[in-house]
Amino acid sequence: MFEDMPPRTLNPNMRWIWMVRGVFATVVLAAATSGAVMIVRTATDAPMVWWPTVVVTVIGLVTAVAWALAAWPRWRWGVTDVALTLHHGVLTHHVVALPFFRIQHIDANQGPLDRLLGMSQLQVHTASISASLPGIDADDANELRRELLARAAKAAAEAATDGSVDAV
Amino acid sequence: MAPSMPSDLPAPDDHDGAPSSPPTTPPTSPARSTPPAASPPPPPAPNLLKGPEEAAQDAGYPPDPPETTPHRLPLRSLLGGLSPQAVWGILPAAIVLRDMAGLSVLALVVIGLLLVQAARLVAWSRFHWGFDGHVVRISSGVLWRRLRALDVERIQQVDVQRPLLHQVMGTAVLKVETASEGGETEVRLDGLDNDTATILQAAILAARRRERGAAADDADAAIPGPDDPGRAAPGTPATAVAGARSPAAAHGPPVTILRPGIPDLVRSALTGSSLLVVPLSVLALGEFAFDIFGNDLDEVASEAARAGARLGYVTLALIVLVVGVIGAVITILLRDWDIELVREGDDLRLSRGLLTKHAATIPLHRLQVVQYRQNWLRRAMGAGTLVLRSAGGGNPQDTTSTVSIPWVTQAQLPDVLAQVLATSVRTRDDLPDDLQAHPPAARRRLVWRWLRGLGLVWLGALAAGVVAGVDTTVGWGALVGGGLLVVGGGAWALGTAQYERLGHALTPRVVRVAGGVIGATSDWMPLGRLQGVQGVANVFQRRLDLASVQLSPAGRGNTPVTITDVATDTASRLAEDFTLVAAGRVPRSPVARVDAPPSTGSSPATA
Repeated sequence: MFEDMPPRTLNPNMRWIWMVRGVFATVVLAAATSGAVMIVRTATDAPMVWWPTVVVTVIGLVTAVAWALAAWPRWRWGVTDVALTLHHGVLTHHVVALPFFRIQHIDANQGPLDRLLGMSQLQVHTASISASLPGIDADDANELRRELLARAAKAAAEAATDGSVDAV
Repeated sequence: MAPSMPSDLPAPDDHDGAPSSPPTTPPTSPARSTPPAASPPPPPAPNLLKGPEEAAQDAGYPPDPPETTPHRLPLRSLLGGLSPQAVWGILPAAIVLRDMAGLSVLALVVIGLLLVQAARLVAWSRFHWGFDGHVVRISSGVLWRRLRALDVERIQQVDVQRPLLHQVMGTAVLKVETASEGGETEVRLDGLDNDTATILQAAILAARRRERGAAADDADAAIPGPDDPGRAAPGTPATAVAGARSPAAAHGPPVTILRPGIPDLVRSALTGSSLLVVPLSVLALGEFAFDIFGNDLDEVASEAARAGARLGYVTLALIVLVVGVIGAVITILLRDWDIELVREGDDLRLSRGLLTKHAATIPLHRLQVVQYRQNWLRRAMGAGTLVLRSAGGGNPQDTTSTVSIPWVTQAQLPDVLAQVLATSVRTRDDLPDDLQAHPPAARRRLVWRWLRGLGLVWLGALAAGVVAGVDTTVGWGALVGGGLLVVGGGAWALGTAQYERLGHALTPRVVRVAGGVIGATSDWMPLGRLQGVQGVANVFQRRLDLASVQLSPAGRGNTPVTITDVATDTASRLAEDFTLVAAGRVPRSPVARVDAPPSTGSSPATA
């Protein structure tokens, strides 16, 4: 399970979305740093300095780009005949198996950036965990969602339970 | 505007009309998400990339209705979001605002309010709902768009409510709920016509009955009606639920599983955290006293100190101890007086309380995790606390999700477990007992984690000492060396103790996970409740060839049961087998055991 990466990758544009998010986070962090430095320098009657903001900005931007580039090849997903499996994580590897039998419902979400780049995000809910599958081509997302729901319905009808298995 | 109610719904059997072709190979990536050249070429696709109708027919699922079918809520539903108080308060607020801040501010506020209403109008125009006899669909959102689809089979509850303002407007709120993890209402149609709401509710409930088919008629009691939402699981074959109920137990007399006496409750009070109740109350009282006396508190405190000195501090400590013990005993007795855990058919009932009687009911098939917790003192006395976690009722108002019995001896435990896990074990001999040790690398990781934790505390103390200019009599060198020795020795001892407790045991139906450091904890999880499986391996675990497997039970706030730090290949094997169980396909062979050779029959999950 850990060794076998599922075959499907996310839309390569997902890297742009992660980068944009990282840049946003960097801007917020840089603003917070500037504010903190300004408060400290004003309190000590010292002139304002900008190098902490520059350092934070550079580190933030480099991290945002590096993280996005590293995260994309690690994000894989696939469907087996019983479950949707998701592999992701750069430092900590996560493997999530969501059996079709357990799927309660699936949301398809699209933010402004997703629409701009022609992507969609599926949110798969079970009675216990919900997992997000980002970076799906907008054209395929609806179809994939329906197919997953179809498999969920089929799995519920076919589940070879022996009486000890409940959906909840 | 009435919803279109299709009269030609496919019969439930239609679901299996098309030959099923489970994908033995994973699907390929669509053209636009082609992996880079370094990635392996994707194998051929199953029906993921077929035409919508074709794929849907293969899987027995109706195609999405045309875009023209979705309905909007009536325009007057926008009024439903206004609170009557706000409406009545607008005029006085405007007058006050004009007098206090001037017309320009008032104008700005009005423009702001109008903008908010315009945004609501745009959101309303983007909100569409539809029901095609199988699926309730909602599309919403202006910037962030969301499409939600609820299969009627998964729907737990459909409520229609008519708050006062809605009654005036002739509208209603329709709420549709599934058993999803969030606990909130999945679909909320606020402002539907009264008639539409009633028709839609009836149509959804009728469709759900149809989908569940003839099996539902056979096991009528297992099917949740609107007034009995949490009775059976959504999507569960009714026969499976019925099968989970043992006929003998269903009609048998109530069986008392546990009934700790007053001596047991007192023992529990003297060995648990309730001992802290009185000291904490005194602290809270101190804060309260500070609020009342303010600066005079110093005087009161010094008066009390003088009184304490007269009494003698040893005597005072004894008094505090005795009061603490009495407080703990009273607290426990008030809460757990006459506590009794009874099995009545397929329900567990826990009743307790002296002044206020509390009663909780947990259907056996909704019990998710059973936990036995022992602190070191209780472990020495051969007893512990039993905690039963359930998914709660299907009803969001039903908050009974955790009950605990304060004193259960180790000797009682197997029989108690056999009763509460009755849907998964027949006798106490079926319980997973044979704890498997985890690989020695797990010990290294635990020792390292203790080393990190204790080391940080020690370094912090050292740094604080240096900053404060503490004058050491033994010299800093001895302090650093001694500290290293204590931290290293402590980490090794604690890590080793934790490793000794670490373990898990499996049967095909129940998993047991053990842990703890000085005390001990064991979780038993019926595998039939397993909802999802996650494998996690961080950088440090990967270096030691370790991984953890998280088993997620149903219900809000039910934390996963985690098998921590097993060998990576074992984790993979376990995760695959657990996925099969969670998928409703109970494997023929028992779930893989640690240190067992790889199972020869390859599981479909690996295909």
